[in-house]
Amino acid sequence: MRRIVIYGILILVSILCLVPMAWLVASAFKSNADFQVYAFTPPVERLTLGNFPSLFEQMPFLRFMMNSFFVAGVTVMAQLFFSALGGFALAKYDFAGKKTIMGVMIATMMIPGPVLLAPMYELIYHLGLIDSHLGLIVPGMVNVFGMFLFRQSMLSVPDEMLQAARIDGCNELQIFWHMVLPVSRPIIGAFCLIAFMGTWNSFLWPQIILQTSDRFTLPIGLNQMVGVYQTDYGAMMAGTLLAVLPVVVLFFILQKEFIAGLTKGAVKG
Amino acid sequence: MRRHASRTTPYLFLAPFILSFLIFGAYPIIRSLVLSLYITSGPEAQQFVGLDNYFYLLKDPDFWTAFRNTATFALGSVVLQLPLSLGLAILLNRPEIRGRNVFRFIFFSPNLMGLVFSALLFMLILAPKFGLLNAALHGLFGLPATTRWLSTPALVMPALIMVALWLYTGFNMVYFLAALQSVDAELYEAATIDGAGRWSQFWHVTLPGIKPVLIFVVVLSTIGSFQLFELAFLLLGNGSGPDQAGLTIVMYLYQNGFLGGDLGYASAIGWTLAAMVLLLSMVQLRITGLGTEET
Amino acid sequence: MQVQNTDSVMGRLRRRLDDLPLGLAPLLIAGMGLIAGLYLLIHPVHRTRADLSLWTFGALHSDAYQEAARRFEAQSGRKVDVQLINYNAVNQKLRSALWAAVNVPDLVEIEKSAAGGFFRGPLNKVGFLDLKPYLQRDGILGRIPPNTLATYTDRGAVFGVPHDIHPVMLAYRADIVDPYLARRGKRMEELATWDDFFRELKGLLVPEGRYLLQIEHGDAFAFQIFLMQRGGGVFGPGGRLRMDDETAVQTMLWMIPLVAASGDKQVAASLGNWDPSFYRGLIEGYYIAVLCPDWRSSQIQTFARELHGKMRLVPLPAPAPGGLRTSQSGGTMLGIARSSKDPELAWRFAKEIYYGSPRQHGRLFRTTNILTPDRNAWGDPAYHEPRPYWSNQALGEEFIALADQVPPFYSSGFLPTAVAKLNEAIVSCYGRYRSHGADGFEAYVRRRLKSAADYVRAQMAREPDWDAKEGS
Repeated sequence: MRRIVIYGILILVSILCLVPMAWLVASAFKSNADFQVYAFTPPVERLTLGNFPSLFEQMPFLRFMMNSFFVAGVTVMAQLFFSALGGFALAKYDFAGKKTIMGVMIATMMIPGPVLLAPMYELIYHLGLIDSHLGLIVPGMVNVFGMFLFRQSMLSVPDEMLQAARIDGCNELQIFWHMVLPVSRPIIGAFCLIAFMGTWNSFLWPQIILQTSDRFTLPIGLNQMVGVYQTDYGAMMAGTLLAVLPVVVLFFILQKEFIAGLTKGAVKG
Repeated sequence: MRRHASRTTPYLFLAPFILSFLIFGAYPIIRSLVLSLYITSGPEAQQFVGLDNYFYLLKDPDFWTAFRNTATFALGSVVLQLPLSLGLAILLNRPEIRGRNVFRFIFFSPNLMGLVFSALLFMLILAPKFGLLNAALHGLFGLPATTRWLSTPALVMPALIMVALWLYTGFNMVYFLAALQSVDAELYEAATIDGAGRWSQFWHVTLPGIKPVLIFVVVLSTIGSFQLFELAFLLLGNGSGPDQAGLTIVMYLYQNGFLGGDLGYASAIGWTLAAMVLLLSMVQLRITGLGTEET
Repeated sequence: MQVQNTDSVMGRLRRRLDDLPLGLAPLLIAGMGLIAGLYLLIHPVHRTRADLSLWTFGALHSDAYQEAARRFEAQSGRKVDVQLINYNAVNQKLRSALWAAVNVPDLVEIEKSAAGGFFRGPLNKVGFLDLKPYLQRDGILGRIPPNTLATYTDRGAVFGVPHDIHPVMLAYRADIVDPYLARRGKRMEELATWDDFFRELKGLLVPEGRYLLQIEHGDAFAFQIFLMQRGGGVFGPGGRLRMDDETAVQTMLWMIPLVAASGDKQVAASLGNWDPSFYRGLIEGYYIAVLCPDWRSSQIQTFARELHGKMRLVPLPAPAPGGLRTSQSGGTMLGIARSSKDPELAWRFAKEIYYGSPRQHGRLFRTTNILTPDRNAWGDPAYHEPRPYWSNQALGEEFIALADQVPPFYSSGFLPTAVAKLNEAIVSCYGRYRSHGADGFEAYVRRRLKSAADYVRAQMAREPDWDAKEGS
């Protein structure tokens, strides 16, 4: 009996989680006229693939996707490397200013992004990065949250082990690469996914600095469709579906690593 | 024979952060602090007003509307989301449950949509007449299908909290699940032997066991909720909703700075928010006693 | 055997991966990044160095301007770059661009609700050029209805030229209304006032089922239309705030009961203004008439296809006999940036797209239904052909007939604030009438509008006297 109740709850929540996404899928195959007529899905014979051609007609969708992949790929790799390195320094070294640095890190997490929008824009201009992918990548290469995440997981590496390696003549980078990083491996998968989603969905900053539509990332390109004077809902849902798909696939592949990572890493508190 | 790493090593490893902070953190921070002392309308129209922006802000009814809305959202999110996340995590953590991976995947999956795409989706789901939510409420409970979630002042915040619930419950659940799995199973056995009931187990074993993660999630959710912008902004058709019911602090900042053109006042709003968030986090950490812990 | 084999291959692959210090995730992401990088390398962004750049937020505008740009390039030998920028991004992009004095387009289209915000600051430092001398020199002032300039005029300077007039008409379900009126020996055109309209159509009203008019009480869209029809406005000339004057009070006192009264006293309703539900309500006949600026008529065509041949447009019923039969809603301007290196060239292109070929205007009218303010274009056949969707009305002629009566809309840097406050006032007046009815309503409306206006005045009082500061 108790099990039935539990399964009942789990299944109910599952439905609530999935229905909006199922609706998204259905909407992507619904014509604009049917959009307002059928709440969920029209009869099968009225489903249409027409939204996809009209999506590709209205915008260089493949290009947006490649832009997103490129920006996300480079950003995540940089964030991964710098976060792991920084986390290592914070976890396993004692040095003057460590507390200050960690305080600064926490403080930066609390400053709302939009406060800095205007001066950031000036700055990116002076660096000559307006309307470029680098303008998205460079300011986002360091991820404070990631540094904390890696620091937590690296705390568990015993100091004696590192000392022994040093005595054996390993330099610090070797220690990082061969001894510490493998310990944090479960975290890496989780971090990559979180960082990837963060970059993939980033909206406000790209919207401000990108100007040439050939450089747009997916959120910017798609939001372009929401116009005051006209909105093509079917194509918009088709685009949203395609934009979300890579993240879903990635998560599906990385699921195990992701969960394992959070289990082993973030939890040490 | 080297017993210690060189003094410069940690600084070298932290160099990317330090550099990035100096360029993309410190400079814009100082610049916007200075800006907050001016009334501005473009780079060539600036008037120094000292702290007047801050004084005006404290008497600005709209700022307090934004604060109320944001606080409601934060409270609603934390109060509804976290217990739900924890509850689901506890259910999924029972060894006898089959298909845990599937459920976990399903619960987490809304988070994969991301803010922007979720907003585009829910804008349509919440619409009256043809939107999915109203159609469902109509079909299941016979409620009228004309409920205007996003244009009825009293319903805007509940709608936003609902969408956030959909987006983040699974995400926080994963944290809790991870935390639960790290709680020592022997403690439960001991508790069972002592004859502790489920509630007593929950209070005396589970909660203390996951306390660090719980606090981490509470603080992070609060910070995140207080910076609510994109979700509300996009859902409400790039506005603050009827009767400003969806106006958040960051949205107010955006409206003043990027629509009204006064980046000075916008900066003052931003800094006031930053101070509030900092204060709130410190209070949370102090109450829960985590701030003093050094790991 | 075979299964065994693949297993071991998979197993080996797994082990390979396990040997890597990073795991699968970074590999996948780096791989995708790499592939995307290669793709972008092979398909570089074509960045033409243009002599002129223009930002627009309308996709249809962009298409038309691209075409015009090619023609212009052929004539002038100068390159023009037309960029389509999202409506929601254009203001913040322009703001950032002006702030950093970088990447400011030579020409930019802005929606009127945001335009005033760009006119603040010392007159000679405003980001846009005063176009009055150009308009006068080239004899264009006489070609456009003078009221259309009011929106973009600040301290005497004209910072933008109007793209449109946006007369407001009443769009209604002819298939429902016309037969009903015919039985009573009446025609829609004869309902000259709102009183006539509601009285004559009363028989069609079904509480909770069918309302006579769509009036949204969650935003200021309908209110502003009614307000301007009565000669009022949020702002008056010279940036004077008048959102709480007697006209505004009377408009509120009239409008709110239409939608907030109970039982069969409620004659108007709404399902929202901006989402598909708006069209749903029209299609289902939940309301049978809507306030319809020219731009909205093309949206109705697109999103309520089912109503083909069932819709008609008539001039707005007047507030009182002999009153104004139209109003104004929405608008877009084209401005030339002060930082433009070649304002003369920019102006030539502006003229090309705004006051150029009637045929181009006509073509655009067929898709957008938006009437250009350039009278010279009104002769184009596109404005005179019957539209099957609209029961074969010649839409252009309907709009042109009202064009010169369209009231002026006065802008201000404080317009967004004022409209937000007005929204609140409307919502609370609606709520008040719902709960208390007519009892003490007038006093409440006066108080509420005044407090909304006082908020805006407090903000306006903070505004430095930019020009005085400039002079000292």
